[in-house]
Amino acid sequence: MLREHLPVLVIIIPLIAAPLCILFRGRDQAFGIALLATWGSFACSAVIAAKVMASGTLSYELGGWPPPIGIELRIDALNALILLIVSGIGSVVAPYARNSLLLEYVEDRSYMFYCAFLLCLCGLMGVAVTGDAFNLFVFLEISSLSSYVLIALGFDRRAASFASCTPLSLRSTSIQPVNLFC
Amino acid sequence: MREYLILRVITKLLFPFILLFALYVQFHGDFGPGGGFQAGVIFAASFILYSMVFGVRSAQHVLPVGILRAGIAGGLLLYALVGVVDLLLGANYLDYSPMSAEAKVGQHLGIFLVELGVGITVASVMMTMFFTFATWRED
Amino acid sequence: MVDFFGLYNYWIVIVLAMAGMYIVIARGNLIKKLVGLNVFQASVFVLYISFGKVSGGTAPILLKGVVTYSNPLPHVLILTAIVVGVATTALGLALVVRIRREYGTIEEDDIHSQDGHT
Repeated sequence: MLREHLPVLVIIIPLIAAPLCILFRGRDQAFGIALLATWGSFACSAVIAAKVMASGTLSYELGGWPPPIGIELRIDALNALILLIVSGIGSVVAPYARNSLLLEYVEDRSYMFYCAFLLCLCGLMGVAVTGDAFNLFVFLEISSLSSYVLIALGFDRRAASFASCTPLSLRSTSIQPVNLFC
Repeated sequence: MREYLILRVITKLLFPFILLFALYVQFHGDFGPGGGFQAGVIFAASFILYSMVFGVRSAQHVLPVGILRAGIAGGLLLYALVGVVDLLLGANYLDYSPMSAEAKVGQHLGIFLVELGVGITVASVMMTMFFTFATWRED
Repeated sequence: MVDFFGLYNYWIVIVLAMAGMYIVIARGNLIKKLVGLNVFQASVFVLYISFGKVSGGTAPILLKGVVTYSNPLPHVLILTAIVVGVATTALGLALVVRIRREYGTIEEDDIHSQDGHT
């Protein structure tokens, strides 16, 4: 029954797991939720890639409204490849995040890192999945805002904070002409 | 702000009316200007006014950090879970029609819950941002 | 000649956009850069909302006896963009506070010279 809803499950699993990481604040609980979410979305994107190879382009209407009125999610072979790459890298990186955070970050706030990581993953996969131009803009904004947070959490605090300002100002001024084409 | 009597009295008088107006804007989003984001900002503005006049400590006494954090996560979860409920009821992801016997009532209920989630999240985020900047320590 | 200044909303957009862009480029203080970013974003919002106006149309809220409405789609898009702008400003301010704590200054030239010595 859930097989026909796969295009949206790929985005929804990290999106629901991100606030769950904030609600369950323990270090191991947040890590477990993040791990399950990345592996779950990788499994969904593998099934989507198999389906697209077998039967062609997948199309999914969000909210039941047909495409000019509503938002459509459209996955063809190139999108499926990008989904596989992004979720594959996410699910390979996620198990090593725990020890890396032990070295670099304050332990009792590690749930915030997992939340930002899951939101970035959700935004990037949403960019690959969507078939609507303004939805693309929204997912681009989600992924870029969470990536500013991830950049600023770098090891060398001084350089990382300043390194995050440059993409922020550059991107915020240059995204407005992209907004025009939507 | 202890010696500004007029500010303290007027703030205490205005505070419930601002909250009431925020609720009005929240629930009249489909009949007039309004909706989740606007209502959340007005709701947060009332608490920010209160904390500017009476101090951040007393405002944090009313809304501790835990409740605000639960509000941020809970509003987003409400939005996403409404969509999941629609998935479980058999329709597409955010298709509110099967949520009630008639499609029209289902759509109304779905939009109501989604806007409520947005309003809760936006109000909590605005207040968290203000409290974070206002209680910043240089250590 | 009257038509040249009749479309005054586009003149406002041009003035605001150029002012915002100049502030972002020409000022070294990080807070001023954020202010310039907000001015630039405000000009883009005014541009899109004025694209959505239909002449003779009223606000896009259903009323009895009204036939022509302005296009509601740009309003929805710009609402999303305003929310994103608020989040970006908050993020930028948090970064500026952190930079002040790490470097002791928020002037871009001082930050570059401090980084050049390490």
